[in-house]
Amino acid sequence: MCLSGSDVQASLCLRMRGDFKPRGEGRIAGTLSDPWKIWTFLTTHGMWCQGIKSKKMDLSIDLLTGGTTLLISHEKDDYRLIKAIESVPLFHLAVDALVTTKEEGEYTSWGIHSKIKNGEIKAVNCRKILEVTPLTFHAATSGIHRVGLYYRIMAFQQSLSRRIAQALSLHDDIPPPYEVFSVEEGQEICGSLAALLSGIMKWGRVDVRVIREELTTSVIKSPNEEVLKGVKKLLRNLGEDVLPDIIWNRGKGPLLSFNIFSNIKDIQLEKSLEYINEISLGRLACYDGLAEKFVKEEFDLAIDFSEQMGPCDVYLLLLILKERGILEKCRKMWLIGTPLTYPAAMYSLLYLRQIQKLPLSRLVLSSEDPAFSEIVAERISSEGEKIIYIAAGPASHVLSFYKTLLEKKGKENVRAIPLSPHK
Amino acid sequence: MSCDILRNAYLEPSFIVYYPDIVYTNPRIAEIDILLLLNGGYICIELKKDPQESPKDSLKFFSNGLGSQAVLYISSKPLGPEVTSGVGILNPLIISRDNFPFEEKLKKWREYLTKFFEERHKFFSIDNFLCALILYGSPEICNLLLSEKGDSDSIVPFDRPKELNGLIRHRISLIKYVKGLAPSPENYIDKIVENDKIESAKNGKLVVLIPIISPSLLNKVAESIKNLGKSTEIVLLCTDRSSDNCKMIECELMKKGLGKLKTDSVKIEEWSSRAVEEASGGGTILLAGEIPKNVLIELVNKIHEKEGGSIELASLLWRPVPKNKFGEELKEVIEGKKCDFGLREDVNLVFVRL
Repeated sequence: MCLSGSDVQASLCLRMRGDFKPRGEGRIAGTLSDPWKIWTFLTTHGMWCQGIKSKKMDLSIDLLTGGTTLLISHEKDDYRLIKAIESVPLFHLAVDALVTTKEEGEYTSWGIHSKIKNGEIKAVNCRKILEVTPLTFHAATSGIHRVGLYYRIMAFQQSLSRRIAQALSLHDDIPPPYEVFSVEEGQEICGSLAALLSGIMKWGRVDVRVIREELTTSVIKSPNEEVLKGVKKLLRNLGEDVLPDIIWNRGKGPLLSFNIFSNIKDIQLEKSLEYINEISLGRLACYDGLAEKFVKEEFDLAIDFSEQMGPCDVYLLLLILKERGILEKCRKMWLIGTPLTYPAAMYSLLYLRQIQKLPLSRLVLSSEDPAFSEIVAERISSEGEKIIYIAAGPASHVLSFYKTLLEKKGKENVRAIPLSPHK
Repeated sequence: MSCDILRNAYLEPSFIVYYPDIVYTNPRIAEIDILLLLNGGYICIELKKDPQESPKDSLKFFSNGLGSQAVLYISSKPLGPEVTSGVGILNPLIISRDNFPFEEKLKKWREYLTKFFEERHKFFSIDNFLCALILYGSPEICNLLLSEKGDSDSIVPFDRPKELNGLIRHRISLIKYVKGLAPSPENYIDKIVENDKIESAKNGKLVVLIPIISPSLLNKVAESIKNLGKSTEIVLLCTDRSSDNCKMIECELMKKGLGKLKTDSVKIEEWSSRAVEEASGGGTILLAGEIPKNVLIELVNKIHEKEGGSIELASLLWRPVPKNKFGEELKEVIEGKKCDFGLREDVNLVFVRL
C-alpha cells in the first residue's frame, strides 16, 4: 500500500446501528432502551435520557481536516432538545457543524434551517458508511477537552477489546462490548479510530491552561508537530481495512501495529502510531499479570472507575475472572462511578446486563468527598462477606473507600487490587 | 407526625444518585433544596408547591442500590389532615410549614446559621456540587425550577443562557474549572479564605506526599500547606519524578517563613513506608495530588496494620468557599422566601481529613 497524499476531500459517515434491544425490563433497560437514548444519555452527561426521535442521525468525519458534521432529522418538537444539548456547556456535544432537518412538513418551526430539507445535506465524497455503537458515535461527537479525548480513547479500546483479550491470551467466550450492539468489529474499529484521530487533529483547540489546572496524573500528553502530521496521513488513508494487530510482551504492555502500513517507511506515521499506542493502550499495561492477584473464594467485586475506564475494562475483568475459574464465585458486581465517570460506568453496566449468566451487577454513584465515599463503602461492605476492590478512581476516593472497607470488614475479608500501570 | 420517626433513621446526603434514569423521569421539584445537619446526619428538605404529590414525583422516592433515601418535604401552604403523609421513614415525609414538627429546631438552626454554614462547608465538596448539578441541571427540573411555563413547553432554556438561573450558570462554570474543562470563572477568588482553616492538621507531624503537580497549582498547594502547618513540623516527600515540584513548594514555604521543614526524595516503592514511618506517633499524611493506586493501597494497609497507630490521612480537595458568611440566602429559604442562590460560592483547594 502507498499512502494517499491527495487533497481530494473525502469523508467517513458514522451511523448508530439501530437494532439494539436491552435485555430484561429493569430500570436501566427501560431508560437506555435504544441507541439514540444511550447517545443522548452520554452526550448530556447522564442528565437526559429521553432521546431524540430521529430517523436519521449521521456523523460525517472529514478525512482531510478531521472536521465533523452531525446531521439529525427530527420530529416536530425535538429541535429545541437538539439546540439545548448543543448549548449546555457541561454537555459533551461539540461538532463543527450541526444540521437539523425536519422529518415531516416543509420547514422547521425554528427557522434557521428552514431551507434545508431531507437529502440536501450529504457527506462529501463519502468513502464508507460505518455502523457503530452509541459510545463510538458519542466519542466522535464529543467535545475537544480532556473528557472528550477520554471518550475517544474509551471507544477505541472498546473496539479493540477482543484483540486486546487475545493478545493477553484470555479465552474469548464472552461477547465483547461492541457485539452486544450487533456491530461489526471492522466498522467499529474504523469508526472509533476516525473519532480518535479527528480529536487528536483538533488538539490545538484544547485549552492547555485548563488541563494544567487539574490535580491528576492522567492528563494525556500533547502530540507534537511530527505526530500531528502522521495523524493527518493516517486519517486520510482510513478505511475499513485498517485493522490493527496487538501484541503483548509481558512486562511491557500492549503494542499496536497496522499490517497495512508495515511496509511504509515514514517517520511521521511511525511517530503517530507510537503516540496512539501510548495514549490509547498505555494504561492497559495494568492488566499485565492481574489474573494472579485474584484468589479462589466467594466474593463481591467493587470496580472503582477512573476517568479513562469503560466497557473494555469490564470485559477484560470478566475474562480474567473466567480464566481464573472464579467468575461463578463472584456474587455481585458493583460499578462505582464518581460524578465525572458515572455515564461511562452506566454504559458499562448496560453492557454487563446484556450478557447472560453473570452475577448481579449494580451502579453506584460515589464522590471524592469522604462524607459520600465512606457511606457508600459502608453500605457495600454490609452486603457480602468478602470484597475485592478494584482501585482505579481518584486518589482521595480510593483512600477513604478502601480505608472504610478495611475498618468495616477487616483485612482478612477485603482485598484491594490497584488498577494502575505504575509498578 | 413525630420527630421520633427520624430518631433512628439513617440519613444520607441528599445528592446521592444511584439510578439517574429514575431521577430524570420524575422531576417536579418546585424549589432548590437545602441541606441541614440533623443528629450527625444530613437531611434534605425540599420546598414543594404540591408536596402531596411527592410520593409520585420525588427525586429521592426510590430505594437506590444501597438503601433508601430520607427526604423531608415542606409544603408552602398548610396541609389538611387528609393529605398528611402517613408513610414511614422509607418514604418521603410531607410536612406543612405551619405544622412543622421541627419548628423549634428550625428556629435554633436559624440562630446557629453561621455555625451551620461552616459545617456545611465541611461536607459540601465540589463533587457533591457536581452531584447537585446533575440533579438540578436536568432540563425538565430546570424548566420547573426556573421557568413559569407549564408542562406543555418543557424544554429548559439552555439555548437562551440569559434566562438560566444564576446558580446553574455559576455552578457550571465552577465545575468546568475544577474538572479541567474551562478556565477559571470571572469572579473566582484566588486566595484561601478564613473558612478554609476550619479543618487543620493535628499537632503531630504533617507528612505531605508530593506527586507531579501542574506548575500553575504549585502556589495554591503551597498556600494550603502553609495554612495547615504553622505550628507543626512539615515533611515533604517526593519521588525523583516530582522532585522539581517539591523544590518549588519548599521554596514557596520558606518564603512564607515556615521553620520546621524537611524534604526528601524517595523511591516510589518506598514512598508509603517512609510516609508511615515519618507520621508515626500521631502525624497526618496529606496527599497533594494524584498518587499511584498501588502506593495508596500500601499506605492504607500499613496504617491499618500499625497497632495503636493514630496516623491520619488527608487530601487537598476543591471545595466551595461561601461568599456570604452569614448565609442570608438560607435564612430566606427557611423563611419561605424565594431567593437567588447565584454567585454565592467560589471554590478553593482545602484540607480534608479522609
